Amino acid sequence: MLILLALVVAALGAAALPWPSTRRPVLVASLAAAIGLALVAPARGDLVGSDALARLIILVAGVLGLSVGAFSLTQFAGERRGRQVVPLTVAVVVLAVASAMARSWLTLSLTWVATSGATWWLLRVATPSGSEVRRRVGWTILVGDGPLLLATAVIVPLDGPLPFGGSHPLTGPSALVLGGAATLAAIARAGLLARSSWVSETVSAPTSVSAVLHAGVVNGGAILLIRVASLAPLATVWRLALAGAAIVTLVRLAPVISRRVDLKGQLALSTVSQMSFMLLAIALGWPVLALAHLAGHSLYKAHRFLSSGGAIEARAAARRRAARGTPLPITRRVLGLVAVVLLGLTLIHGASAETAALTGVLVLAAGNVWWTHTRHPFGRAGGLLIGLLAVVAGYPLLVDRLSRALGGVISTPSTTAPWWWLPGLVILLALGSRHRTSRDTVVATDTASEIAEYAAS
Amino acid sequence: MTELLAPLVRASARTIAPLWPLDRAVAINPLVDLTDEDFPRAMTELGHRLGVDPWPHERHLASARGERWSRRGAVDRPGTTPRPGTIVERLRGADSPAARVAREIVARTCLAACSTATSAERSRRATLRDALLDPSVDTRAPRPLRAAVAQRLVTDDLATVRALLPWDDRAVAEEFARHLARVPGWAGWAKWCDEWSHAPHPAALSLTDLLVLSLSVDLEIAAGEWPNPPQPPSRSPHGDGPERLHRLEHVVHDGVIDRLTLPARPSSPPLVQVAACIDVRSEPLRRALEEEPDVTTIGFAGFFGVAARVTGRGEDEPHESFPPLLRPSVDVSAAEATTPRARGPLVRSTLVELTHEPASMFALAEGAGWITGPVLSALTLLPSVRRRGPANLDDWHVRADDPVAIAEGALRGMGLTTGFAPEVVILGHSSHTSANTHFSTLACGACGAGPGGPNAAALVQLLNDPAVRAALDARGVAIPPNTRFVAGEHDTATDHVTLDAMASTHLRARVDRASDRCRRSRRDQRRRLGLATPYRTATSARDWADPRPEWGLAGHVAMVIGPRERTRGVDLGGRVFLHSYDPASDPDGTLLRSIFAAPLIVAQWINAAYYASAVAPDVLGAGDKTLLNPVGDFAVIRGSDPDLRPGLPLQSLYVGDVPIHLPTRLLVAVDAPRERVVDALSDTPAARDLVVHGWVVLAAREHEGGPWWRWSTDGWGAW
Repeated sequence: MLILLALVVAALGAAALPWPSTRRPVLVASLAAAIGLALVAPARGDLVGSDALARLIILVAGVLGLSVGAFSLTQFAGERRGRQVVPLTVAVVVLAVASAMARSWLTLSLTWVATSGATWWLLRVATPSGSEVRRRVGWTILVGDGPLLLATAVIVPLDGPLPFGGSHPLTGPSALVLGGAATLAAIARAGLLARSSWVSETVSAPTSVSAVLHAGVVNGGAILLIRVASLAPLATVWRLALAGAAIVTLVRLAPVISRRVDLKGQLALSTVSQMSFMLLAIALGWPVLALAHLAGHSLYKAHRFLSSGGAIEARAAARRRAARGTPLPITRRVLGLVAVVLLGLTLIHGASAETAALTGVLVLAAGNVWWTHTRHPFGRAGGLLIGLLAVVAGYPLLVDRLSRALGGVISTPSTTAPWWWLPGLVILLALGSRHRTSRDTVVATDTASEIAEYAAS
Repeated sequence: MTELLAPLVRASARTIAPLWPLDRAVAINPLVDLTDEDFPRAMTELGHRLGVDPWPHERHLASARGERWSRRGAVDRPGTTPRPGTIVERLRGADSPAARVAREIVARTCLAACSTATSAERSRRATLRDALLDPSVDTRAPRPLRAAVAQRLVTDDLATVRALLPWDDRAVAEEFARHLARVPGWAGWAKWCDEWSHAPHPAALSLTDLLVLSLSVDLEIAAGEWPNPPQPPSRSPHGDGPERLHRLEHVVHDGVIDRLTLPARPSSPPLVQVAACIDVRSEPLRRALEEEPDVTTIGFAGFFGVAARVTGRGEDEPHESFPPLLRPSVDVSAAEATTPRARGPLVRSTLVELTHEPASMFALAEGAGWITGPVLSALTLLPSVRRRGPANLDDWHVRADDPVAIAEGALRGMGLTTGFAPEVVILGHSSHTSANTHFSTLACGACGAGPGGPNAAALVQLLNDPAVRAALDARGVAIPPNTRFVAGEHDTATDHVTLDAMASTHLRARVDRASDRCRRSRRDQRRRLGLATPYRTATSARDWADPRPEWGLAGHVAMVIGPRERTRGVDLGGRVFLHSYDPASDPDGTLLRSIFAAPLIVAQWINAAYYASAVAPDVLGAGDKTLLNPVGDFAVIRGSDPDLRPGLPLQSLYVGDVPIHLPTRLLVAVDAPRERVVDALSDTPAARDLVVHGWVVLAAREHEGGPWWRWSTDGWGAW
C-alpha cells in the first residue's frame, strides 16, 4: 500500500518536474506501475482491495488515466495552470479507482465525496471563467452527495462500516435509506432530470478535463448502486425511481441531442443519455450490462473528446466526398428494424435475459447501419453486413464472459425485466425522437450542385 | 427597400473581420475595409468598437528586448473603454440580465439555425424563426420573447425595422454597427458569406438577417422605450498605444535591417533550382538547401500562378487552390476521380451517422469503446503510430484553357526565363497535423488554405510538356532539353519534403539533408521555449494533444522583395517572407507592380490577422485552444459561449505568458531603386494605400551594400 501511494504521488508530481522531456515518462511509468499494483491488491479488510469488479474498473480507469494524463501534460505544456490541472486530473482518476476498490460502504462514500470535491477543484483551476459549471457541480454535491453523507453518518455508527462481500448484511430502514441516498447520488452525478445539468456545462472545460469527467466521474453511480446492492437489494421504489428518471431523461434528450450543433455539446448530452441507459439497465436488473456499458462508454467518450479537435477537418473531408444520397424515411427504417429484430430472435434463443437485451439493441443498431447504406454496391454492403453480424454475435459473448467473471461479486436482483423491454424502449425512442434530417447529405448535395453551377458560369 | 439600406449595412460592418470557414481559413486583415484610412485611426476605431486595446503590450516589449516579464503587478492592459451598447444595453446596462439574454438569444438562434442548410423552400429567415420556436433549442430566453421575435422575423425586413428606429441614417448605421459588434463572430461569418464566398455556404447567414434578428430582440425587450441616439465612438488615437507600437517596431525592425546588411553567401552555377513559396516557413528550408553551393532558391507565391480548382481522389467538391482575390483558370483532378469510396471514409461516415442516431448510439458506445480504448492509449502515448501517406504529386489530370500563358506567367513571375538548372523543383507546401481545429491556417494561404502540392504538380506537368516548351521557346523562354521540372511538397509541420517520381537520387539526398537541418533547428527552438522535445519532430505534428504542432506564421516580421543573392545564407530566423525580384531584369517595373498588387497584399493580410489575434486574443482571436468547441465543419465556439470565434488560438501565439508573435506592422524591405518602388506603388492603389496610410513600414535599398532608406509621408529618410 505504501508503494502504491508513493507511485501515485510520483504521478501527481510529474507535471512539476523542471525537465519538460521527463514529465511524460515519469507520469506514465508511475501511473502504470500503480495500476499494476492496484490490480493485484488483495480484497481483504475494510479499506481498499481489488475484487473482480474493482479490477474491471481499474483496467478501464488505467487506460483512461494514462491517456488523459499524458494528453493533459502535452496540452498544457508551457502553461502555469498545467502544474495544477494535470495533477488534479490524475487525482480525479485515482479517486475514481479508489471508489471502485473500496471494501466497505464507509470507504466508498468518503472516496465518492472526495471525487466530487476534486472535480470541483479541477474545474475551478482549469476554467477560471467557468462559474456556471462550478455552480452546478456545487448543487450536484449538495443534492446528491449531501444525503449520501448524511445517510452514512447515521447508518455507520449503528451498523458499522458495512464491508462488501457479505451476504446482504443490511436490512430494514437502514437498507431503504442507504438505497435511497445511493439512488439520489447516482442520479445527480449522472446529470439526469436536470434541464441543464453540470454534465452538459462541462463543455466550458478544457478538452482533457471534459474527457476525464465524462469518462471517469459521471458513471460512478453505477458502481455505487452495484455495491449498495451487495449490502441490500435495491428496494423496488428506488428501482422504479431510477428507471423513471432514466426514461424521462432519455425521452427528453433524444430530440435535443440531434438539434445540438456544437460537437462537445452533443457529446455532453449523449453522455447523459448513455448514463440514463446504464442506470436504466441497473433498474431493470441487469448490472453486468450496465458495467459493460460503463467500460465501453468510458473509453469511447474519452476518445471522442480527445479527438474533437479533428472534427472540422474530418467533416469537411466527408463533405467533399461523393454525396451519399437520401436515407430512407424513418417509418420505413423502423419497419426494417422490426424485421431485423425478429430475425435476431433466432440468434438469441436460449441466451440469458441480459445478453438477449444487449443483443436486441445491437441488432437494432446493425439493422440501422445496414438499411442506411443499402444504396451502396452489393459487395460493400455485404461486407458491412458480415461485419455487423460478427459484432452482434461476438459482443454478447464478451458480456457473457464478463458476467461469469463478476458473478461472485455482483448481486443480481431476484426480479429482472423481460429482455425485450430494452430494445423495445430503444425503438420507442427512435420513433419519438425528432427525425434527424439528412443535414450532412443535403449539405453535400447543395454544395456540390452550387459549385457545379458556378463552375459552369 | 432593403437594397437602399445596403450602404448602411456595409458601413456598419467595416470594423468586423470576415470569418472564413475553418476548413479553408485564409488569413485576412480584420480591417480590410479600412485600409484607405490611417492605421492609428482605424485601430482606434476598432478598439473603441469592440472594447479592446489594439496596441502591443508591455509583455511584447519585454520579449523583444529579451527581458523577463512578470504578470504579477504588471499593467499589461491599460484600461479600455467598454464596447458601445445596443438599445437594450443602453437602457438596462451592459451587464444586466436583459443584456445577457439579448446576446444569448441572438447568438444561440444563429447557432441552431445555421445547422440547417437553406434551400429554395427554406430561407435562412425561416430557419431562424424555426430555431426560435423549437423548444429543444436552448436559447436561454423566455418563450413569449422567442415567439414575439419569431413573429417579427415573419413580418419584418430590415427596412421595416429601420423605419421603427427614430433616428437619422448616421445614428442608424451606428446602431447597426453596435449590434454587429455584440456578436462579432456571427457578424464576421455573415460578412464572409455576403462579400467573400464564391458559392453559397450551407450554413450561410447574411448581415441583413443578423441585423433583423438582433434588432428585433432589442425592440421586443425594450418594449417601446428608447435610449438616446447612439453616437459614433472617437477615432482619435489617445493614450500611449501608438507609442508602444513604435517602440516595439524600433527594436524588431532594426533587427531585421541589421540582418539584411550582413554579407550574403556566394553561389556557383546551380545544378538545382528550387522555387518555393514566399511563406516564412520556407526560409529555413531554403537556407538549409543553399548550404550546398550548387543549389539556388527562388521565392514566389505558393500557388505558382496556377489558379487551380483541385478535386482530390474520391472527392466531388473541388478546393479553390488560389488566393481569394483571383478567379480559377485551371482544373486539376486526381487521376482516379471515379474510384469507389475507400473503405476508411465509409467506416468513418458510418460512425458519424451512428453517433447521432438514438437507436444506435448506445450500441456504438458499447461496442466501439472496447476497440477505441487501446486506440486511445496508442494515439496518446505513441503518437508516431499515426501515419499519413505521402503527398500525391504524380497522378493529376490538368485541364487549362491556356497552358502556355500559365506556364509563361509563372516563369516570368519567378524571374526564371534563362539560366535553367538541370533540375528545377517547384516546391509547394502544406501542413499535416492531428486533431487541430485550425489546421487550415497552417496550410498554404496562397492555395486557398490548402496544400500547394497539386499546384506544383500541375505547373510541372505543363512545363515538362514538349508542346508547351515549344510554344514557350517561340515566346522567348527557351527551356533547355536537359532541364527537368520536379514537383515537391514541403510539410511544414515535420519539415519532410516529398518529391515526385522524376526526382533524381542526387536531388533527394540533398533535400533529405536540408530537412534534417531544419528539424534540428526546430528542436532547439522548442527546447528554448521550455517545451518537450521529442526525438522526432514528426511526433509533435502527429500528437493530437499538442496545441502547437507547428508555429505557422507566428513570429513573422518582414517581407523582403529582392534578389536572393543578396540574402543567401543570412539567417532570417524563419520570420521573413522572401519574394525573389531582380531589378535588373525588370526595367519598367512590371514585375514589381505585380508583386505589390498581390503577394504584398496577402502578406499584409497575414500580418494584420496575426497582429489582431496577438493584441486581443479573447476578442479578435479564438482564445484558449483547449476550450474550443467545433461547430459543423466551418467554425468554433468557445466552451458554451454561442458566438463564433474569429482569428487564431492563443496557443498559436503564446507559450504561457511568453509571446511567440510580436504584434508589429509588416516591414516591407525592397531591394530596388527607390524611384522604381515609388513608381510601382503609384500604379497599385491597394499597396499604395497600405504604405501611405501606415499599414506597412516601407524600406528600400538602391544596391547591394548600400544603406537602407525608410519611407514616410515626408519622403525617404535614412533608416
